[in-house]
Amino acid sequence: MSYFRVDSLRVGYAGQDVIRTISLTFDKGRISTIIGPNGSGKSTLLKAAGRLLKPYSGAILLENSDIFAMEDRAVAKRLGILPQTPTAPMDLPVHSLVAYGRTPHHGFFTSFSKEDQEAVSWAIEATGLADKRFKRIGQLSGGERQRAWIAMALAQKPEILLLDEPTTYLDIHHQFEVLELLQCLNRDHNLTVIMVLHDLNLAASFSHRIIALKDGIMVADGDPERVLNTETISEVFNIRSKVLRITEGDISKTVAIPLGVRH
Amino acid sequence: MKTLLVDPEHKKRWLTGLCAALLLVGGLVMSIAKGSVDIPLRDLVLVFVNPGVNEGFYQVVMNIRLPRVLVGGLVGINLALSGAILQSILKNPLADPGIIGISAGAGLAAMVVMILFPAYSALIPPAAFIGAICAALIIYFIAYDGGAHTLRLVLAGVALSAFLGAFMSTLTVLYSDRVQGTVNWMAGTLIGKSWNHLYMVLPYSFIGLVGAVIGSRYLNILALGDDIARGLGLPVERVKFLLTLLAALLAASAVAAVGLLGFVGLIIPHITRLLIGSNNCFLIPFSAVFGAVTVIFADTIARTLFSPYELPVGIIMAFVGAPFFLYLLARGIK
Repeated sequence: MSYFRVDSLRVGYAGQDVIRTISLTFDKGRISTIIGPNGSGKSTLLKAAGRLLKPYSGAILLENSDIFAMEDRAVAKRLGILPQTPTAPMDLPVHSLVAYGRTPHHGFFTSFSKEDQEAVSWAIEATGLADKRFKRIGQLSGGERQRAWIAMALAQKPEILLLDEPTTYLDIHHQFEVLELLQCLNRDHNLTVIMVLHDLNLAASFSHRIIALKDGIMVADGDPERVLNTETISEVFNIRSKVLRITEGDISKTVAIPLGVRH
Repeated sequence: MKTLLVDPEHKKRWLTGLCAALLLVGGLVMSIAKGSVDIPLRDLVLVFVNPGVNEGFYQVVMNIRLPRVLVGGLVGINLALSGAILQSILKNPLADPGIIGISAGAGLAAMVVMILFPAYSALIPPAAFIGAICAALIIYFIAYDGGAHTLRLVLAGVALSAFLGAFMSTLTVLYSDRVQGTVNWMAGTLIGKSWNHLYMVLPYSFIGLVGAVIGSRYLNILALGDDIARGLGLPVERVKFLLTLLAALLAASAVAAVGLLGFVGLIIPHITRLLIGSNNCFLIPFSAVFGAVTVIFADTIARTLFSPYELPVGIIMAFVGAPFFLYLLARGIK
C-alpha cells in the first residue's frame, strides 16, 4: 500500500489544464521538493495534493482513501498545508495563531483540552518562538512570521506537511533556519514534507527527492544527485549550468551553478 | 504554567468591557429620563418601584420611552453585528449592510408589504429577510472574487441601492395616500416604536447574537485566508454562505422595525476593532454592546436636539457616519 499518492492527476483553473496527468507516490518520512520554472504547475500540484483545488480527473490518495471523499477535519488532522505568503490580522498574537492550528482536533464546540495546549506549546518551542508568544504578527520579522505559520501547521500535528515556497522573502539566514527546522522535524518526528522551492541548491541540500515539472508535466524525479544534472536543468529551466559536488568537513553538497540563458 | 500564559491584552478587554457596560446602563437611564418631558432620576426609580405614585410618568416610561429605547438598542445590536460579520467575510472594511445595498433590498421588500398588503404586517420581517438575501446574492456575484475589492463593492452597493430606491420612491408616489411617515422610515426612525416592534425584533436579535457568537470562531479562521481555513478543515463556502444569511437576517430585522438606518454597521465594528483588536471572539460581543449604546445615544440626541421636533435617528447617524465613511476612504483602505 502506498502512503500518499497522486494518481493520474489532471487539474487547473477555470477549465484550463495546468497539470496534465501526473502520478507520484510519496513514502512516509521523506522530504520531497518540487522544482520548475514559473507557471510549470508546482503550486497547482501542491494545492491539489493539499485538497485546496479539486482535480478534473484522477485522485489524491492518503493510504488508499481519496482525500476529496474524506471528511474535512479527518484530512486536516493528517495533512497540513501552508500556502505561499499567507496573511493574518496584524494584531493577532503568535500564540493565538498557533492555537488555530488545533482547529481540526478540538472542533468548534468543545474547549481547548490539555492535549491541545501541549501541542501549541510544543509547536511554539519547536519553532523557537517561546519568547515571542505574545508578540503580534505585525511585530515579527519576516523569518519569525514564517516560523509562526509553520508553528501553526505543526500544532495541527499533521503527518504530512505541504509547503509552498516557505522561504519566499527570507534572507539566506532565515531560509536556512526554516529549512533546517523542517529537516529537524522530519528527522525527529518522521514528518513527511512535500514542498515547492525556487532555489535549486536549497532543494538539493534539504531534500531526499526532487521532482522537476515543466508545463504541467513531470520531467525528472529522483534523489537530488540524480535530478540535478546539466541536461535536466537545461531542459527544465532553459539555462546552461555546471553541477559541482563539494565536500567540506562532513557536509557534502550537490551545487548547480547557472552559467547563462540557453539560446 | 497557566499564569505565565496570560495575554497582556486581557486587562484591556476587561476595562473596555466595564466601560461598555457603564455606557449602556448610563445610556438606557438617560434615554428614558430625557425627552419632551424630563423625568427626574428619583421619579424614574419610583416608576419601577412604585408605579402608582405618578401615573403620568408611568405611562410615558412604560408605553413610550422604554419600548422605544429597547427597540433602539436591539436594532443597534443587529446592525453592528451584521456589519462586523460582513466586514469579516468580504475582507472589506467598508462592508456595511446600508452601503452595499442589503438594507435597500430589505427596505423595498418591507415597503411592498407595508403599502400593498398592509393587513399582513407580520410578514414584514420575513419579506425583508428575503429582500436582504436577494440583495446580498447580487452583490456577491458582482463584487466578490476571493475577497471584495473596495471600489467594486461600494460602487455595486451604490448602484443597487439607487436601483432599489427608485422602486421605493415609485411606491411612495403611487400610493401616497397609504404612506404615512415614509420619509422618516426611509431615514431610519424610532419615533412611535412600541412593544410590538420590540417583540418583532427580539427573536431575530436573539438568533443573530447566538449565531454571531458561535460564528466568531469561524470568522477568526476565515481571517487567515480561504486556503488556510480549508487546510484547517473548515468547509469555507458553506460557512461563508451561512454567515452571510445571518448578516442578512440581522440587517433585515432592523430594517423591518425602524427603516433604513445607516452607518451603524460601518462605524461600530471599526471603533470596536480599534479598541479591542480584531479577534472576533471579542469583536462580536463588544460590537453588539457598542451598537446598542450608539443607537440609544443617537436617538436621545435626535429626540432632544430640536425639541419639540423629533428628528429620525438615522439623520444623526448620517451626520456622524458619512464623514467617518469619507475618512476611511481618504485613509486609503485597500
